[in-house]
Amino acid sequence: MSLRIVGVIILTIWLMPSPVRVSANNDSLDFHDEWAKMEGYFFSEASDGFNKANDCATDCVRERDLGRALSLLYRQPTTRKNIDEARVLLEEIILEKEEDFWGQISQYYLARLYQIHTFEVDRDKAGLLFLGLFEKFPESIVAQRGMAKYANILLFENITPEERLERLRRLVDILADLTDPVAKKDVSLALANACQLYRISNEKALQHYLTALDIGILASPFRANTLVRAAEIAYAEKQFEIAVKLYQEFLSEFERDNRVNVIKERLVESLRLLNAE
Amino acid sequence: MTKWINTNWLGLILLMSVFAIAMARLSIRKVEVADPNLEIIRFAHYQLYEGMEDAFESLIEDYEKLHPGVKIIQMRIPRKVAPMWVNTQLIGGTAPDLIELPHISQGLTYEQLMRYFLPLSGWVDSANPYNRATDLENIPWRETFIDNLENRPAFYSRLMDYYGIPLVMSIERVFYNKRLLETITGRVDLPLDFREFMEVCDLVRDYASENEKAIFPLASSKESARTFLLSLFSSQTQKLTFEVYDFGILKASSHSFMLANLRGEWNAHQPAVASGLKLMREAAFRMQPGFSQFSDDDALFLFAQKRALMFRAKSENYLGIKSQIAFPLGIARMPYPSPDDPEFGPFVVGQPSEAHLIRTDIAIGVTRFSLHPQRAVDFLQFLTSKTVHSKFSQLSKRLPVIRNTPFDKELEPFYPVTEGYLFGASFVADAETRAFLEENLYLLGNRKVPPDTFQKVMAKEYSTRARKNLEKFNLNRFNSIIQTDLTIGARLVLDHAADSRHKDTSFELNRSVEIQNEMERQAYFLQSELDRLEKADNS
Repeated sequence: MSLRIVGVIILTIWLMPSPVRVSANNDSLDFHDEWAKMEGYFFSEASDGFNKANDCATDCVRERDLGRALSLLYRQPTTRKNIDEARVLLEEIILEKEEDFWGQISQYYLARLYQIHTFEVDRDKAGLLFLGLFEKFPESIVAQRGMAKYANILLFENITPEERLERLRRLVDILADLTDPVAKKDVSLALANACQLYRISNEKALQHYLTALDIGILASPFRANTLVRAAEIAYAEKQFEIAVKLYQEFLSEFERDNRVNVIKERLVESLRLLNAE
Repeated sequence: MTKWINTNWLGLILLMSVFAIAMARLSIRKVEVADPNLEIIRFAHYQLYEGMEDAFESLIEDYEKLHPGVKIIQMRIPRKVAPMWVNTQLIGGTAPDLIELPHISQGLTYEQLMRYFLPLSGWVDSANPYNRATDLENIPWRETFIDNLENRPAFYSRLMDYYGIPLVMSIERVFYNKRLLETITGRVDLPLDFREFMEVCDLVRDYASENEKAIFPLASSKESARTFLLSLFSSQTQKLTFEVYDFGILKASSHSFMLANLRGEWNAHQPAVASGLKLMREAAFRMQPGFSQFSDDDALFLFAQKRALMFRAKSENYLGIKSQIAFPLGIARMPYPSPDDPEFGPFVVGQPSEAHLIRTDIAIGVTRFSLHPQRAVDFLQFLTSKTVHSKFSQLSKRLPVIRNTPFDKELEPFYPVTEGYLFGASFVADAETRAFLEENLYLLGNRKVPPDTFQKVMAKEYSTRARKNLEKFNLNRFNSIIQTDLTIGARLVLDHAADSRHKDTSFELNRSVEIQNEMERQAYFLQSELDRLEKADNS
């Protein structure tokens, strides 16, 4: 009798479904460890985790499929089949619900897929997807960050100067609607670079560089370069007060940079010209 | 005839003996059981040179005294097997906490760096705690290094992050035979003035010719000739670099200089470039014939045989050179034309700073397998703190990589002069343009070819090579962007979840997005310019 009971218990345990990953709420992750692995460049390990999870609750499925899609984009060797599979997964996530985080980030990565991951890069399509995401969800951080990618796609193409000016105007309008400082800074930098590198307008380039510097540039070598770029434009445009401020900022923050001697000379000259005004 | 011994049996007996010895060794082998209370950091390097191992041993002892709960184990790996060993350890997941990073040219890949080593930006932007009560206190760790950690093997621009902490500085110097110099010129030391330096070279040539001796002013290898000649060229582009399109950052970039060439902003006949090429040729004439076929060892042999007055080599070769020569050795900085030089001065801003020529080396990376990454970094901070690093430099007889660090008086001639102005841009950057120079290097040192031959070849071929170089460079940059895309995706998810189990991802996320966007802008800009120029060429 007792053996029969033990047998039933064993059978019950054996037949019990494996634990289902259930998404508790919007702010927790069911695949935290896999995302952490992916963040740490352990793409294969992360991919294994996402691929092994076959039983998922509804929310969990979309998180898992995003993980699977991103893993497919990296899987070596890159094949059309993998890219297509990733695209289908992203489209399914969006189709199910486009307004939540998983839907929005999938739209962002669908745009990235067309922008840089496919064999036949389609920058126009990527640009439309980024813009569509932002138009649908202007408050979304992901959508706003997509605008920096959109700016890069739009501005740095081999187009006519008139077309570039028109695109610059469109992006300046978008810039006014951005609330995320990171997105605002990156779009400002794109505008500044375009104005400077394509020799469109030094004045506008300076204005956008100053916006970006005010928001704060995080990577030190990049901040140093941006300070120099802005200071040099201010110097060339005879805006010596701004030039002096920027040269001084550079010298106080990067006193050991190799450009210190040249910058010191520029500072002395800017001060002399400022006083002569 | 019967064999006096059966070789089959002999082989079997030998095999059995070896097996028995192996079994015996295995059975008596003691497995060291780690004390669970100890933090163990394994540190692998390939510095099996005089002074280096002792220096490490001594500093490890100091560190363990300071931190009684820590044990640092030095793993000495022969240099020849190092890249293979590192690869095996990384793939096998058995890598130690700290590894001396092999160079990219020795087979280390960017993918391995990203996958197996910790990015160090979080640490290098903060002050080194071991610099307390020194003049480097409160200065970001990064800025305590002589090159601000701006170069490989510390900073990898393709990955836009720091992966190695270098322990020594390296710089090229002119080693000279003091006795020969005095015999030929009556001088005791090599001059620091460029004109006088060239005169000394000419005196050597005259002396060799008068005395029918095969003595050359400067013994050079292909590698050292390339860096030397390019630095001379860059002394002539100091002004030009800022006149052509340089992205407005007041910093010479070979890639933007190449693009400026494609845009028609300079060519081989541009006065500063022509002057740079002439200077390269003048210097190449002072080297032994066929220098482009010489290895470093061949050139050193020539110098050691007293068949060359000078030999240009890296500072780390000093002890090796010293042990191979039988004459008093002089060490000098290479002089460059000054602004008042009548011929080469007009293109010069000022004496170039050697900051551009400094190379850092023996960079240690922290592997992702480390159970104690914070401790591993702490040990690196200890090694590169001012006081400890000074001791390391004294013991190892290597140039310190940390600023204002006292070092052995014997190393003084090697210390770089970082005052001065940046070198201008060079026309060589990556494999394609390097190959262009190497293929044509012989034209510079050959008196039989007309003086403008290199210039003509450059005018004809360089733009095509520069375009190829830029295209490959941009392709690599796009690959890096793709690789960082997934990490950013994971960070976006983790940041959104604001999961308390995970460290604050916002800063890293925002920083990596910022860097990726900058790389993307640069790549797209370059691509748009290459497309525009190609279209213009075709029409």
